[in-house]
Amino acid sequence: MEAMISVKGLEKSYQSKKSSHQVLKGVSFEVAAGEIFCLLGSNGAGKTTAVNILTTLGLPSAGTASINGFDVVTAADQVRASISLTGQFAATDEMLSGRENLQLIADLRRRKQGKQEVIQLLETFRLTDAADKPVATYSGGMRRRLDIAMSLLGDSPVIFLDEPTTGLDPQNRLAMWELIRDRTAAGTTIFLTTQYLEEAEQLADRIAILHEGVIITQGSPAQLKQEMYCSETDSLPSLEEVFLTHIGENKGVKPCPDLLQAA
Amino acid sequence: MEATINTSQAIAQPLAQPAAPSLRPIKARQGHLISDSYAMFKRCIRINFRNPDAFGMSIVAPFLMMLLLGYVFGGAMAMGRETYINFIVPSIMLISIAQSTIFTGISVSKEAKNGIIDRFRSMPIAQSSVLVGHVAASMFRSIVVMLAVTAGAFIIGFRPEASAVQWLTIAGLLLLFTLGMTWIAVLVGLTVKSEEAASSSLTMVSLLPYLSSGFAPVETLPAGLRAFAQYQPITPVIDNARALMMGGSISADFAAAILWWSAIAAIACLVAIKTYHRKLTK
Repeated sequence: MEAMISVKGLEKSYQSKKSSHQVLKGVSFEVAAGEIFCLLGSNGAGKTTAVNILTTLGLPSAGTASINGFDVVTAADQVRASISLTGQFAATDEMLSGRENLQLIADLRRRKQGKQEVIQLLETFRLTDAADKPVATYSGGMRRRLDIAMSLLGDSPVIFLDEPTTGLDPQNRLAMWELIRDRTAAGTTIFLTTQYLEEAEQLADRIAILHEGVIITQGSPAQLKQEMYCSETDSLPSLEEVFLTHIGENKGVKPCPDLLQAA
Repeated sequence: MEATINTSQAIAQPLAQPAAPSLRPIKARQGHLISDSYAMFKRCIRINFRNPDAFGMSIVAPFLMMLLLGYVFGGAMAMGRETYINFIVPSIMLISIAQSTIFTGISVSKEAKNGIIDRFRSMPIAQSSVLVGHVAASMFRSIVVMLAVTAGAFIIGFRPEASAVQWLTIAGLLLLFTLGMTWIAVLVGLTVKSEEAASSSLTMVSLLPYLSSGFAPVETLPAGLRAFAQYQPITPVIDNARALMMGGSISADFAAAILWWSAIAAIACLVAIKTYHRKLTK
């Protein structure tokens, strides 16, 4: 079956007058429909650059990517009709209220039951009390919740969440994970980026570790751990150990020789 | 303490039945320019009127200037105070409109750096609706400005003699002027690096009505300035608006006014939409 997201040899470099900087150096992966896929990496690994290209905000320098069977460059309109994005930075209108922000998205997405959906989302995200206050008066956590509520409005087959829980407190983070799991139950594909290993481990069906523009390994959380398991260690490594070993910064744990060869 | 997201209640699931995990058909028809622009227009209008400082200034400032010019200089003019007030109303209107379009430039410049534009760009909407919404809101503001200036001018002695048809012609001409000025403001807002730069460069543009037939008959200006004032696109707008307000008829350069501002609006619009795509693509 064709993958919901398919990325082949994706490259991106930024040219300036003095230098050229390659952010993505040939990234390939596939995401099946209904999966939660997590792109894990440190700051500056290229996660947002990848999200930008997949959501039609940026153009690749080389390689191809398709979503829901549509090429992100040549069929951008169809890609946009298949996705919903929560970017890293709050995408809300400060002068409008939470309700008006949501209603705008409902109008633009031509939701027939828009009003009802907005009321329900406000309820789900515990924003009902502040619904008619301008977003400028919201706390950081409330803005983030509104931002994510705006992305969940509609029935996009693929939802992109670029570091969705950055800036959320622990209980809201847990609640957010719950919501994300609920979404996939309805068949939605989730593309998530995070720098939190725990988040990846909790949520993802599959994880790809992006480091300095290259995917150094990918698989289910269990596979990634298994891959590192070798006779020298007597228990499965934590995902943190897997990650640090892969990016070559694990001073404490000795990596498996096989693994190093593979990388 | 921060409220926690409510998970006990499942989020609205718009799908009738859980879709099988496979590719999903999407609606063939994507964004629609008119309805998307209307949604964006409503958004811009709300933002405008909740930020009354900037918009209010574009009405108050010209009104004060009208008082100043009318009462301080009016008496010294050979044509007399009353005639002078009638003479400057169209120019005051153009300046107020020009100033209210600065607001559009600042909003666009602010937005281009905000995450919301990324959200719009990743949505299945007519992409130019983001800009068209701003322009439509500016047209609306312009109508408010025209009414406010006219009312203010009445108070200090403006006595127009235009018929309804002449007023409609004036309104149409000034709206065309607004359209051109707004697309210039959008283009500047997309091009410059900061809101401050957008504001100051557009303020320069809004001074152009001074270098026209707006406040003194062109014949009285020094040679170099006179040539500029005679041939710049604002002069035919002011001359015709003034003639119509006094119950006169349009002059030979009415066509020039229409051509100038249609061309400016069309070119600035095309360049702005192109810039929007080019500049914001990452």
